[in-house]
Amino acid sequence: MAIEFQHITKSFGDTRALDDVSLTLEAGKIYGLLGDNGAGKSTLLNVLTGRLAPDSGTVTVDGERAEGDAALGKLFLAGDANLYPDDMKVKRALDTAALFYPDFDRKYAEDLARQFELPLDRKISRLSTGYGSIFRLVLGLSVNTPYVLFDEPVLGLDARHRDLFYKLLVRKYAEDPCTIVISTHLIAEVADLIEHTVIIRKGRILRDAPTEELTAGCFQVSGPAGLVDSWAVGREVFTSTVLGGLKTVCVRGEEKEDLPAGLERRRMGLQEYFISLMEEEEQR
Amino acid sequence: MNTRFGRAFRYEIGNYIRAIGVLWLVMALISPAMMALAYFLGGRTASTTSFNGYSLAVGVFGLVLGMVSLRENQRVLNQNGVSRRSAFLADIAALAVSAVLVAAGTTVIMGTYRAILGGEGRVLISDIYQVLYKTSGSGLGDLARGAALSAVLGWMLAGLGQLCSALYWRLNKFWTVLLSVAVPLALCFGSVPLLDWMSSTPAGQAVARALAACGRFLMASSWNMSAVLLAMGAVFFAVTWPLLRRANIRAAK
Repeated sequence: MAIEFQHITKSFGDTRALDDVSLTLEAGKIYGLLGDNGAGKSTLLNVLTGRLAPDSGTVTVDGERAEGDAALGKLFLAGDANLYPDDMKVKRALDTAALFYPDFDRKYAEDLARQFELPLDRKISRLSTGYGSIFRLVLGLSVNTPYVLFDEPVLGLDARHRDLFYKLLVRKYAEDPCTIVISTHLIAEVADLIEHTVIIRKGRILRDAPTEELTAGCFQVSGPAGLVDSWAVGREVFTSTVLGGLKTVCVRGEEKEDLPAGLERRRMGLQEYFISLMEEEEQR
Repeated sequence: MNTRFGRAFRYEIGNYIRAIGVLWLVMALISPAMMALAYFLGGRTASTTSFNGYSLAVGVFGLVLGMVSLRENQRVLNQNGVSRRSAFLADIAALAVSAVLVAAGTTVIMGTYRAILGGEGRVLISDIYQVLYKTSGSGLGDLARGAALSAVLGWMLAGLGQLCSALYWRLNKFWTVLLSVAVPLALCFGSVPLLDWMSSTPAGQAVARALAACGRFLMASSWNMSAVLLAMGAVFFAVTWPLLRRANIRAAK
């Protein structure tokens, strides 16, 4: 039971959006799909859901080719693209979801719409960016497919609605542990939710590991620049920043020994890890 | 019908049925409007007038439906987990059912008016079948043949509409502009040299003879015409599929 990408390549003109991507998304996990703008996150999700045809490679969902009904019926992509007709209202979109997804919870969807103050009789094309996101979140949370994919789920949402979404997502996952993939730039907000992180850059998978394993494998040390420099000799420093006389280095490896006086060690969060990794790649 | 194809078909027919109802209503109202106009003006101007746009209405309806439905259905059905193939096949079936419903409805409306007027009125109501094959054909058999011809015409033009839509979907901006300019220009300025070529060269005369033979075959029976239109529709849909298979499904602009 898994989604498997095998050697997926996809180009747009001269731009290679995905370059020989192989990846497995296992059942019953919350995945974070992280990357800079244009890294290939949305392209990957669009290839998975049959919106884009790959130039080469195959995608399967529980062993079924992803372009077929059997596979697509197990997926729901709540993406930022509005694929609904211009004149379709929110209520009709819920009716349509109920027609195609047997496990769609209509009552729960209407309850969520009330919580998010989403007007059911409004045309989808007339919704603001924030309410457009809410509309897709409501569908994603109610559709009850084995695999739910959120592409920039909180685009345009205020802090209160973002918080509500994360709480509802955790509750849904606790009640029915399906596979959830969250593609987002707001890494700090989802860091605690993500069990497994996939980092993509320029169409290639850079990291594919449990979040805990990624962040536990490195740490930050900061202090006076001279002191940090002498401590860092012989260690695997992958990025460093200097602010005034204060220097911070990100170091790979497990550090158990005590630091010299004046230096401070801090565990890296997922966002810090991501930024450091991107800077390291940029320097290469 | 509980497969994704079946659900897609139900969704599409549900969308089309409202448009079909509106067309029936318009076609039902056009004849009384024309009768009122003919009787109002009749004393001073025309003694009779004719309306033979029923089949044409079915055809134009099919063409427009085919053009607008392809992308819209692919988008919304993809969002709801239906494959391109199932969405496309459901569209072909839904367009066929729509063409039959529209043709049957308009034939019933036309037959009713022809029965009421009994050929005595100032308004002559007919469709393409009466125009091409049997001017006085008002029996049930003639109406059924006329409805069949209208239905396949509508479905064939729906196929042409889908092909045009798929073609514009796949072409880049340059080819879209070029095609949009070249086709009307070719139609405007190409016909005279073409007719000249057909009348003045041996090859052109052979083509003209072949076309005349084809015309005689089509005019021999409405079933010949229906079969050819059906085959043309099948070809249009068959050519649309390879264009559609790898098209990028994106939000409407």
